[in-house]
Amino acid sequence: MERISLACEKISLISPGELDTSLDFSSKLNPFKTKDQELLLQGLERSGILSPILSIKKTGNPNPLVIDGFKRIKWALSSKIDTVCVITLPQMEEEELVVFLTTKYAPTLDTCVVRALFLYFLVEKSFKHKTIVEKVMPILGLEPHKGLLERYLKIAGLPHKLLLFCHEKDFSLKRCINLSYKPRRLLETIIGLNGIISLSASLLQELCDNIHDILRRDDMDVEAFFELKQVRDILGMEKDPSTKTRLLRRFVWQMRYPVLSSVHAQIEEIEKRHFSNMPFCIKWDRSLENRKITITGSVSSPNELDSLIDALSDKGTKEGINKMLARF
Amino acid sequence: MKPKSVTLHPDLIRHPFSQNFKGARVSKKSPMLTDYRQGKRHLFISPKKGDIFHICASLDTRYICCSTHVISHISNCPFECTYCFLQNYLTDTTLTVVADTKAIMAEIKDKVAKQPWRFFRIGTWELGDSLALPPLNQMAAALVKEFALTKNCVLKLRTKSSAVEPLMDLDHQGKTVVSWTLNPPEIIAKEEIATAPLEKRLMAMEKVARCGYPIGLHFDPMILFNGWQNAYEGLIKMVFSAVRPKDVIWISVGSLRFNPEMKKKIENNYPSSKITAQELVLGDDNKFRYPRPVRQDMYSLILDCLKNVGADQCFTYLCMERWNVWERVFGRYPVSIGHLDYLIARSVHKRFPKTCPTMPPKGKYMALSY
Repeated sequence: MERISLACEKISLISPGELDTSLDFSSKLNPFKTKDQELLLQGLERSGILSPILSIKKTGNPNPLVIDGFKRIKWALSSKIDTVCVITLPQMEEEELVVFLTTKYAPTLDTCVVRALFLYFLVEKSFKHKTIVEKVMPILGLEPHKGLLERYLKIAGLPHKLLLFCHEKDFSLKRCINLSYKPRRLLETIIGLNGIISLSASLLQELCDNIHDILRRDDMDVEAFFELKQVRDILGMEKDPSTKTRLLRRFVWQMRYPVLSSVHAQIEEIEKRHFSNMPFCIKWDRSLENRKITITGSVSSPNELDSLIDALSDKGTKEGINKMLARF
Repeated sequence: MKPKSVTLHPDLIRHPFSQNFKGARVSKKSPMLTDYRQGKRHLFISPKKGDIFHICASLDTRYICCSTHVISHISNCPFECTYCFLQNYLTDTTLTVVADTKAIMAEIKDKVAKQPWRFFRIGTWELGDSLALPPLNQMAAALVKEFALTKNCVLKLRTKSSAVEPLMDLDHQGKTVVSWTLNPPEIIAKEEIATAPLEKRLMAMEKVARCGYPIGLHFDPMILFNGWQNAYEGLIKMVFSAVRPKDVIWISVGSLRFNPEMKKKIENNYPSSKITAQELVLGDDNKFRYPRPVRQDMYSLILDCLKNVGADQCFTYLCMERWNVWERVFGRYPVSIGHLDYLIARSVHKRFPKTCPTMPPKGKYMALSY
């Protein structure tokens, strides 16, 4: 505020086209639908520009560098307004400028993705990494670590469509980091399936993890995987997205865990043969680590209890349980 | 392999061990490196601070563990094994060695005296390799001499190196077991970067066996790859053409395991390694392992191979495995961690009486609680 009051005599009328808007981060947020954008545009339409644009002097640049009022300028340009009211502050130190911009944008940086994009934007605008780590990250509530900045920058490099998805689903930092280590082609292909299959945040993560491991294990590339007959058949079938999702998920799981899948199939077969009409449920440790079968049943009358006891005492039950245990 | 820099704690300037590091930077503080790789190249020689003798940190009562003891006087390692847990464990990655042998021995003697009936196997490899660097080897040699004078302990040196020269001509009294972690050459080349090749490890093994040291063999971690069966079979043949079964005091077998946080670390640090892409399941101890049927096949193959080379007389045990895996592989299982501890001690007493002179009392081992 002190700076603004000192610079009051510098208010001038300038054509919006002559202003340097290179520090406009809000335009980068366009597809990301942050809270305040719609409201602001409605206000401008209703009342016009009520407060002056804020700018600073920049060495070697005849045009004032705008630091606040980007949307007003954009609106002025689109509304063909000749001049706008601009306050020009004296030149700012890098630290001061970056703190100003961060404080201004902080309320809109509400997901990991937009925070990543903002940090990337600052790097792109040649702000020093050290300044970003020490001054910007604490304002955004992030630990001031170089490594963390690098992770955010890696996230910012994810495919655009995926960034939008992660933003909409409010992906955590951990999830975003995990995705940022996957091959770009894989990410692009999977996010491209959204609509054909029902992609949720956890399913996206699961498919990326499992397919990436399959590719590495089998020395396969992304195209070869999605060209597999089974994958093509699933994605191309005339079924609803949720059916395709279930089938694709199962196929990927079987490919990623062939041993577990095969043992589970054997156990499921025993379950089907011995227990399909029994008044109890059979569960086993899906990791196959613990040799343990859990039998659960519920009763609502003495007769049901008798039936349950009879079923449990049945010779076939014992035989089935023994067969199942033998798979462990 | 020589460290790029050596930092010596001022308390150790007059210590005989420090005489090998004339010109070292003197500082009370470790360089406190945080980068996993960078720390491997810088050595800090430290005095002993606090207790360093304890039971192996991997012990988990849900698994059958061998309950070995360790002295954690080495921290970090110049080798680069892709599966090494240290990449996700150390805060200060500086390669650190506690040089004060007398202080270490005083702590050990004090603690083992409380259970004079027990046979203590004491390793120096918990957070590093026992023989990976010349300074560590001198340290190892000093410990060999000290352990030769103990009654109910044996020193376990475990390495992937071939640097055994400092151990030659020492009066070890059978109180030191020199052991190697062994994998087929394909795995050594890809996953045990900068370690000694198999032939060199085996030559070193032959040398120490000739000096009368009992030999320990650790086929752990076994790693799955195309052709693993033939590779491990070949490995066992090679090992037993270098040493005789009667030289081998024990054999441990285990498979790759790591905690979930390690997956990302391994993939970042060693992008060409495929170990994390194999089929893995999360166990009750929150560690990824190959599925149980796969592990059983791997262990059974090792047992068959040992039988084929006449090494089935060597005491063989599984490292950090479930009782049901033991049962599948051996047809029997120790009923508790104390039981396995007893079985090892009994085998050593029978086969290496100089190493474990008294018959272990079964009842006391079985009553041990963890």
